[in-house]
Amino acid sequence: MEAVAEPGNLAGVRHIILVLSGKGGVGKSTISTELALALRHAGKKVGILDVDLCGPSVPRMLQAQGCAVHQCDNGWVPVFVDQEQSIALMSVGFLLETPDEAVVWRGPKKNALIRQFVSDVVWGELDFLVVDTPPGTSDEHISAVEALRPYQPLGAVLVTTPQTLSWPPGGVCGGCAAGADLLQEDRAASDRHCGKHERFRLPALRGEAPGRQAPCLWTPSL
Amino acid sequence: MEEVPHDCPGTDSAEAGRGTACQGCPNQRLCASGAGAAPDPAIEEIKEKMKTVKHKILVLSGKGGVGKSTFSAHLAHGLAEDENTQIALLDIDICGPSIPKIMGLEGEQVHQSGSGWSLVYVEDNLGVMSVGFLLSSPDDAVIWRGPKKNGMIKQFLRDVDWGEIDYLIVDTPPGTSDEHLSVVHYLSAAHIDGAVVITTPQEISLQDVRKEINFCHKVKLPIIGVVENMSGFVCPKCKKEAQIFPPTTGGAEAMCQDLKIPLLGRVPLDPQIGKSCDKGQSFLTEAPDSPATLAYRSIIQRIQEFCSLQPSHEEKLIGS
Repeated sequence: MEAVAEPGNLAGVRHIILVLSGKGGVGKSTISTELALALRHAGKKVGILDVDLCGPSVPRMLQAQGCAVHQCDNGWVPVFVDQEQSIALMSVGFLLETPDEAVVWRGPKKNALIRQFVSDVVWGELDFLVVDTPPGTSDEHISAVEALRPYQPLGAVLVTTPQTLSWPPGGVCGGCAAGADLLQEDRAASDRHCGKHERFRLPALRGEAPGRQAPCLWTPSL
Repeated sequence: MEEVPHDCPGTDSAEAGRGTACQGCPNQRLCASGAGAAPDPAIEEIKEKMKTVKHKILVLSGKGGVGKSTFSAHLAHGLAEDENTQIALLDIDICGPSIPKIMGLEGEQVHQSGSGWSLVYVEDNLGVMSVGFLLSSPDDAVIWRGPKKNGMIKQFLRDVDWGEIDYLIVDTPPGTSDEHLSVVHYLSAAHIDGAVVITTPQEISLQDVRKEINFCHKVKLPIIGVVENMSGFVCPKCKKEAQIFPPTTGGAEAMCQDLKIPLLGRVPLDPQIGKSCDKGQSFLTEAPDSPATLAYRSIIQRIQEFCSLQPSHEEKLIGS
């Protein structure tokens, strides 16, 4: 049964962006965090919703580990990572008793928490809400997309790495709002010892996103 | 069942389905009917099927992209180099099945016989099973919720014609969720030798891997040890080592000392590994002199030693 999200808590959010990847470890949380920081640098108010319940990385990336979530009349108050309250963050990481506590939940309980994150967090007025997801195409993704659909997410950013094994399956795009853009993380390392810029590049056997119109947004260096 | 929330009275409790914590739980009706307390018949069926499988090893990590599938595949390749050893590799990463590609088996299909689903063979002594073989195209996404994934895992364990296997290696997705709970649950009567936990050196990985280790303790799964992957990069030009993923908090070594768990070894980054995986070839045979190959071989030997110390197959059968 789909939960009906309270319109109040997301009414002030102008744009919602999901950050997805079929593959783990390609840099979704890093990109989500950097995207939020870049948007803040551009003067925007940003929220990050971390729906990776088993491996919540965003609190650490924003040095917000150990922060507590407080309640107000309208729901949960997100954690603000700065004094200016320009980045609001919600993650299961804030709900754990210890950082090493494992969230050993089956799908239904994960779905319930994700719906709560969408409906019960008081996001306030935000220009962008970035939704960081775990790898895969399962409960978290389905629930997040279903819960966010009434708010018409702007789209999804797909993160990958050059090797073919990382290319996200086409169905990932079908599972979220239209307009998926591909963001490719290109790993290159400057070798400090021999002074040569050794492009340690994870080899790509295919040079473009297979079978779809997906502009490559950005290739950051490692 | 360990997967129930901590405020749940427990599925075999008298309060199951009736307590205040049960309100709104999707399984409330099931528990209230008493069905939750009944043993799952699949567990016994799988126990029977697993009688011909000597050793079962899970490859886990809390973190994605650390090299679980790569390691699982090369563990299988390494063990299968002894032609007298029968190896099976089971891929239970339902949403992101990498094993068919890494093993060079993309496009293969599963065949059924009277005795069940047949493994797809890479070598005579190395068979593989993955949801990837059930998809009509490698680009098809498996967008399933937990219960459907659990059903698939049960089918794999119960319906595959495993035959006489020396080592069953189970590759898992990242996390501590349905797939992990299900494989431990369904193999609960069949004895899992242990888990190999994969990490990379940086704290962002270690923090998830500590959760995974806690999961193992929670479900009483022995830990064979930790493998630190992507541990340093040796420049092919000057041979000096650089840390691409710096171990800012001491890496896996510090974590293992802290948690008193064996560190099985460190595998350095080698771009050839990624190439071999994309081509579906064994990195161990493509780059036999690479430091990464030497690391893999040492780790594989330690895993074999661990398994050889486990109770023998006959002792397990007698014990059960």
